[in-house]
Amino acid sequence: MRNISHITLKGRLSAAMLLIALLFCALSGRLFYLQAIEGESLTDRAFGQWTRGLPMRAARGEIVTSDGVTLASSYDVFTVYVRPVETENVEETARAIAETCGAEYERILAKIDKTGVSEVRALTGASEAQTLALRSKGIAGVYVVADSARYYDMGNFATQLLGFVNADGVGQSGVEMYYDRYLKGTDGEAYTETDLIGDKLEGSHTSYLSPIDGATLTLTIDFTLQSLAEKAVRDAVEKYSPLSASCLMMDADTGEILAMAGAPTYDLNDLPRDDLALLLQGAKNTLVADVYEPGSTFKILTAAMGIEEGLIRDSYYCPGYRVVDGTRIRCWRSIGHGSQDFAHGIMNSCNCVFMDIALSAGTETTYDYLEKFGVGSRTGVDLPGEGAGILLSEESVKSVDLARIGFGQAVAATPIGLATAVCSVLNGGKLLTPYVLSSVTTADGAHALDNSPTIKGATVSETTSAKMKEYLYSVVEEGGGKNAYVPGYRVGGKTGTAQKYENGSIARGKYVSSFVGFTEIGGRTVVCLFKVDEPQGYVYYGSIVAAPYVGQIFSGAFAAFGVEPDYAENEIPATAEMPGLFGLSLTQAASAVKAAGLQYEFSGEGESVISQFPVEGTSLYEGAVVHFELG
Amino acid sequence: MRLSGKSRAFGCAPLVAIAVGLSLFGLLMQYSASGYAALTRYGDEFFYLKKQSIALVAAVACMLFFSRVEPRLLAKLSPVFLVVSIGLLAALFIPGLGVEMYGATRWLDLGIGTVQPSEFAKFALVLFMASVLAEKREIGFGRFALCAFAAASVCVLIMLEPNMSIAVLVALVAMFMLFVCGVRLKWFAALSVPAVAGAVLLIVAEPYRLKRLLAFLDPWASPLGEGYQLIQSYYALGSGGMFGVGLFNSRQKYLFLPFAESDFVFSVVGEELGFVGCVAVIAAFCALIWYGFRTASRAEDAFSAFAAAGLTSVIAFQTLLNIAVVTGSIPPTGLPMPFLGYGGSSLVTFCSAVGMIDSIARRVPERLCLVPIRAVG
Repeated sequence: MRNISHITLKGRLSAAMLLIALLFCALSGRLFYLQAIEGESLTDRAFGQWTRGLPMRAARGEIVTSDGVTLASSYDVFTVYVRPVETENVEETARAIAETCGAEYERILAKIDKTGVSEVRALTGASEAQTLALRSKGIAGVYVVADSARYYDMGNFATQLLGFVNADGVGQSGVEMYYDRYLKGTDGEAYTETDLIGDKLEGSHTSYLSPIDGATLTLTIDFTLQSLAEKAVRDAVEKYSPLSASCLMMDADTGEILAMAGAPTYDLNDLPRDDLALLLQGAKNTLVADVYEPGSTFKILTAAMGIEEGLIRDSYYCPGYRVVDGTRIRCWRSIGHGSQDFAHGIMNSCNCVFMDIALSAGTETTYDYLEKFGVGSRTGVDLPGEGAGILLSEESVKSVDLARIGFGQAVAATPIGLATAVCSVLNGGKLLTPYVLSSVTTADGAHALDNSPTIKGATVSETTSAKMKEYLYSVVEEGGGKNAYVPGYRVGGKTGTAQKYENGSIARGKYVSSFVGFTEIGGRTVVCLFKVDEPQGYVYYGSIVAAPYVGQIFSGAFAAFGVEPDYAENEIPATAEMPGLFGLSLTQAASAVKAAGLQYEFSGEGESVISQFPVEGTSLYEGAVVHFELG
Repeated sequence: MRLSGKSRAFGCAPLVAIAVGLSLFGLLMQYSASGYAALTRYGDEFFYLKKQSIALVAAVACMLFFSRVEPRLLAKLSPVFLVVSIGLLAALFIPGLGVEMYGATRWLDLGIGTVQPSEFAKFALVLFMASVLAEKREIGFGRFALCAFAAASVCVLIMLEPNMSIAVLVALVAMFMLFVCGVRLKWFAALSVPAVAGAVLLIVAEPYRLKRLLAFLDPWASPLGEGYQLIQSYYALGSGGMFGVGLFNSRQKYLFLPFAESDFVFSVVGEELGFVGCVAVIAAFCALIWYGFRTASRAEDAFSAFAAAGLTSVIAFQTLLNIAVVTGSIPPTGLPMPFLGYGGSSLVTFCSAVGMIDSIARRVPERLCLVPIRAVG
């Protein structure tokens, strides 16, 4: 064996050692980077895998009316979780859960008899007593977590306004959806230290991050008015079997929504979750989402424009139609209203009067007002799914269209949009943003938010507003709105009957009957829009179908709020009896009704009366509007 | 007082002390890292500790034995060692003898337990190359070629198991030996061409290697797939921080970190003892390597020098590769950490190698060993 050349060996060995030393230094640097610099962020990332969290649902905030009645609340329920890896005997565990919580043994067993999952939700909706009984058994691998469930204290009440939540407590419609961020709160979590598989570590503690409960929403809704509205829409549904009946009440001076009811719908505690079509239909707030041709109720806006612009003539003649650019446009009363002043034009709801106003104002002015009134746009109400009204484009509007717009055709608005515009006519010209949220109170009692009226724009002057009120009072006191009359009180309003369109043409026999009324209740001007969509039977005039319900609501409200009647100013009108009209001709029937001290509306074009409303002998206020049909 | 070289208990006591110290420290860390997993899998938290303790006894016995074996004898027997090793590697392919685990056949069933032939082969190759290269003053092309052929054979056989990491290690060690033992740099350089080409070819041939390569560059891209192991190692090291979470307090050992007791024991060191603990372990290895190379540079003959350098280089390269894997500096491969990582074959062979180096140190001419050296690690 040879002797080595130490020079060569040492040289090369040193080079190799140097390289190895450098590599060790580099790796130490890498370690320093991972441990000292990235250490904290890596630990944060690792935390997620070291613990298993069970959710602790925050209780959803309550929804209460402005007068303190709870409409939606939450209650504690308990969810039982099982960690299969920790259970000792699956059958015994399942039996214990089933026995204590009154559940079916097989179902629980099927749920928890699993491997490869860290935890399974064995049972939901258990009561506290049941879970206490379960806990006392001390079974390994069984965990009970507090959950929150929704309860609607009034059941089928303000259904579309409130909306509902899904199984995970997330708002799906209405206020529940729009204000979900306030209501939901912040969920908490129970963390348990586990190994990779999810086995709880021996001696480890479970740490809790408590949930923060959702805030309480106080709505502008008045419980009394809402109850009256609910009753009225249900009565209307029962009587006329329409597609729907709905009622919106607003404070004209603030834009607060006082009531919002729709029927038919369902109990919020018993949702038809299996029937999606029904669920969605009942959840839809037609007052906000749907547009309709408002018909005569729209005349309030045309009249206000006419007064504001000084376009009112002393007298109007109605032969039963107007010819505009060669097109004959009919008044609703085919025999015409004859010669009348403006006040009677409104009372009679004469289409000719409003065609004249719109035509004399011209397209530009009319559209200016439509824009001011917010027709064609959204009100910005704090509810989901608001629709926008529809206007013909200003450039394409012909005189014929303009004339029709004057009496509420060839234009579409949402009920809330129309009500908001009407409010501006009544409150001195302030176009407000309607709203339903009054205030928000956090779970710890702190006042988080106070809502206040928002004025979006100006429509008409105080003078015009005052005049309009008087005109609208006379509609109810003397004109077509008589059926909304409440003796001893001043009620104003306007009827509306609109034909429905389907696929671009008029749908025969399909009407939307509506009434927009207002009165003073406890110092506030309350506007009430009542709408019946497709009433069944031959009666469809707003004056007959919708107006009485507004009267019913206001009458109830006066009683509830203790508004004293003032008979001195407004005598109790004499009563009249409905005569029998069957078989009479139009002129005969008309004179019979007049002789009885009543007003009439009729439909059909036959020889004689084939039906009447109400039945013979019904006691009515003098001047009430009745209906008969010719055939 | 001058000690006679041959009568000294150890040729290089610090070397032996560090090796035994690291092995004992390894037992402790393996117990900490594997206790929970062992309890879960085998119902005995000392499962790995017991097996490794027995291996450690055997390893120390082997170390003492080899520290008394004359280097000359090793040189003479080295061809036999190599042939036996190659035979054992080939035996893996005989059905019934090879034990397949984790998709590779690396273990030989001896009836009383399993051994990894590759652990022996790498040291046998070192001894064989040392003896071949040390025979003549000038290293002719024939010897160079013989060494290269022997190294290639071992590499290919290990590659076929497959066990790329050890194959790469063997290749690195062979290159190191050719370089340090004075092979002409031209030949040496020429050798790197097929080596690099071979590596590229292997990656292209087996797509999963490319995937692993990508995983190492961005483990977060597949946190539950290719990147999982590395991320778990990062979590362990990261949560350890500067000073660690304390002995036995690892969170990652709760089944999150795979191979926590073997290939990734260093991650657990990093988690429980922090950066400071890691650096201390690295320092111990550096000291060990330094003593090994110093022995080589002072050896009495060429074989002793080459063998000491080669054996030390196995320790150095395997440690470097392991730490590089654990820190995500190179693509992940399965290499246990010398002394620290769980594995009987590995511990026995590394301790035997330390014994051989110690034997070589014992024969260092006396004048070089005047001053007793205190252990550093």
